[in-house]
Amino acid sequence: MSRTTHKALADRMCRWEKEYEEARKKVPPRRPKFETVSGLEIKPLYTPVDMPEQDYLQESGFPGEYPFTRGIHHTMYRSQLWKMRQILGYGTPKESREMMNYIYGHEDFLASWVLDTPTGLGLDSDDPRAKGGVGQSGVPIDSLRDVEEALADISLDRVSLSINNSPTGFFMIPMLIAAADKKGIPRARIRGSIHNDPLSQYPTNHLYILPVEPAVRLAVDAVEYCCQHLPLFNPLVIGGQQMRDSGCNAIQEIAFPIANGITYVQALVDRGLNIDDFAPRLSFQFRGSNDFFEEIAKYRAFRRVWAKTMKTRFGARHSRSMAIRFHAQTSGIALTAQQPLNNIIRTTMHTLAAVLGGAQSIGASPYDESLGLPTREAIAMAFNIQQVIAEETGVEKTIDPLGGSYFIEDLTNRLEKAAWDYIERIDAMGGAIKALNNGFIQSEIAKECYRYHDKIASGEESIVGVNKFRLDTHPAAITVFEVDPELEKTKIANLTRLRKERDNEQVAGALQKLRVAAESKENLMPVMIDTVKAYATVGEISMTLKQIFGEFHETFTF
Amino acid sequence: MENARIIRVLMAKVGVDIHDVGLRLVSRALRDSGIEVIYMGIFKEPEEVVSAAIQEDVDVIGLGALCGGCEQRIAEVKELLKARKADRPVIVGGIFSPRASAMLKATGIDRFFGPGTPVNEIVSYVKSVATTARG
Repeated sequence: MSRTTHKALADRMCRWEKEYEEARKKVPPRRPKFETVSGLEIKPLYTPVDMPEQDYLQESGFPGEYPFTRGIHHTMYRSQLWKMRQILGYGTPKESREMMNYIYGHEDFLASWVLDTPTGLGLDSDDPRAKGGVGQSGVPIDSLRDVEEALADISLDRVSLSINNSPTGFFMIPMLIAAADKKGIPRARIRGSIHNDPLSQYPTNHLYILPVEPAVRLAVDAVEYCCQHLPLFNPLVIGGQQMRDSGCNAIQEIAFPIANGITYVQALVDRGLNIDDFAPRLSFQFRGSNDFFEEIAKYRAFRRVWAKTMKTRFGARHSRSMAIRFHAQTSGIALTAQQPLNNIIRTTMHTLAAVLGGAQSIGASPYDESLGLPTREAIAMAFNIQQVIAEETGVEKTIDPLGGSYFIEDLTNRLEKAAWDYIERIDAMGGAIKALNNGFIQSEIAKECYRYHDKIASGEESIVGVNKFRLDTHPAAITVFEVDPELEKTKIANLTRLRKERDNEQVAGALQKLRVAAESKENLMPVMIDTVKAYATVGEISMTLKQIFGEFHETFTF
Repeated sequence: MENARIIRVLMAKVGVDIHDVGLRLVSRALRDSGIEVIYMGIFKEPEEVVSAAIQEDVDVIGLGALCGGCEQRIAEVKELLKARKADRPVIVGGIFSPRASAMLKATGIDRFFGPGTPVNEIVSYVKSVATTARG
């Protein structure tokens, strides 16, 4: 029997499509339009006709080979599963340390810190603006002493700790180094990661300490320093997650972080660094979201776009400079306060898509995410989601199992093309910083956020338990975690004690040296390490830098 | 004519809560219904909100919270309004623990809007409470 020619298949497809139209008249479709959440049209069927000119080696390739569409390693999960991380942090360093012990006590799990909002804004716990917020949404860090206390049972060379915060990279990395120094851990053996991606914060979280350009400079200082002195540490995790949780779609989630990444990479190259010396230490973070197949395609398209960017735009030569790692933290915005146990199902789907998309590490959001910080029960369930997927489903047994699906390959191609369109537009504006300063990023995210919201409000899209299948009383009641407000007072009291106990002359001297260094063009990291070792506080350091660099005044819009 | 006066609403978040998607969605719905929105955004101090509310002569203040601990700062807004003899309806959106809700009810917050509330319901309430307040 001869093989069907492409033309014959295309003709046959046309016939099928006509038959589909006829069948549609008898049984009308459930929706007027079928599209992904990002607005990409979905046909009833995908066949080889949808990928006529695709060259496997050029566009897909093999795992561990350019353009890494199918995975960044040769062996992927066959040798090593994705890392399983859990976010923690609340109250005081003591509570956070206890929670870390709980998480690291589970054989396969690693911890990520979220820092509390005052820390993320460069405010000390006793700052009047921090009132009510200390330790409410993360670990409160006022000084090196808090880092030392929280890490008392952890050795940074033996466990990998991730810090999910961006504006604070310029003092958190020095604090980790200082804490390691004091424990006699060689800097070259420090592991872990920190987001340290200020550009992602301005249009989304509004978490910033300094204006844009100085913040980028300090982030790049940290990356440059770490590439030279902390070869095992990951000093830049470029973020799409804040954008996704602000309502952007999968296309924007690929394009905007890559545009930010281009800015950081260019800055490092402009300082004279060789791309292959630092690119392998970069990584990304995304939100694992709804729209299962689009998510899988998103991760594949992202790998391809970044690989091409590194090779073509920056001339990277080393495979490890182009093969980009990413962490997927499953969605917050998709989770509901109503009928919260449904979130277990959502998080499972988000996690599964990230596994099928080849993530290097995954954080599954606990089911009570929309109600507060997680209870132990919710954390245990988040562990279980990852463990069941890893141990019982079989999805990890072959690499990129959905590769070759006509639908997935078509979606991957279209997401890639749409991402390039955005990157070109941002390039034409002069880059990510210009696109941020002129409001382009913010308005694109807002448009998408409103578009989706309007679809929910009209009922065109459904959220179970919210605008469809609502239960007035749900049989399962869950306990909601509340941070004891007394912990804020404890934290403030500890800070007051620190201010008395430390050598305040040494602090003043260190801050003065920091001031001088900030006014120069030198890399601030060495001076910052000395400053944090003197137990200068987050607020004092931030204020010193604000005096040199100014403050960022945001005009809030909606 | 009294009825022709446009309703003015101040929208803000007090304290260090970064979540503003809900605040923006509600502000947009209010604006699209013909209400004038004075949008202050997030990271505001209660003092700033109250001064602006008085200066802008707003009918209603809308505050939001999606993090624990925000209720203290929200309560301060209501207390400051009363202290300045400038009390007016304050509505709050977001997610609160039963303890926080009870505390805020005691300070006189007019109405809570929990997750999943259709924005139209918030718009209708604002219109009715603003008109009533003017008497």
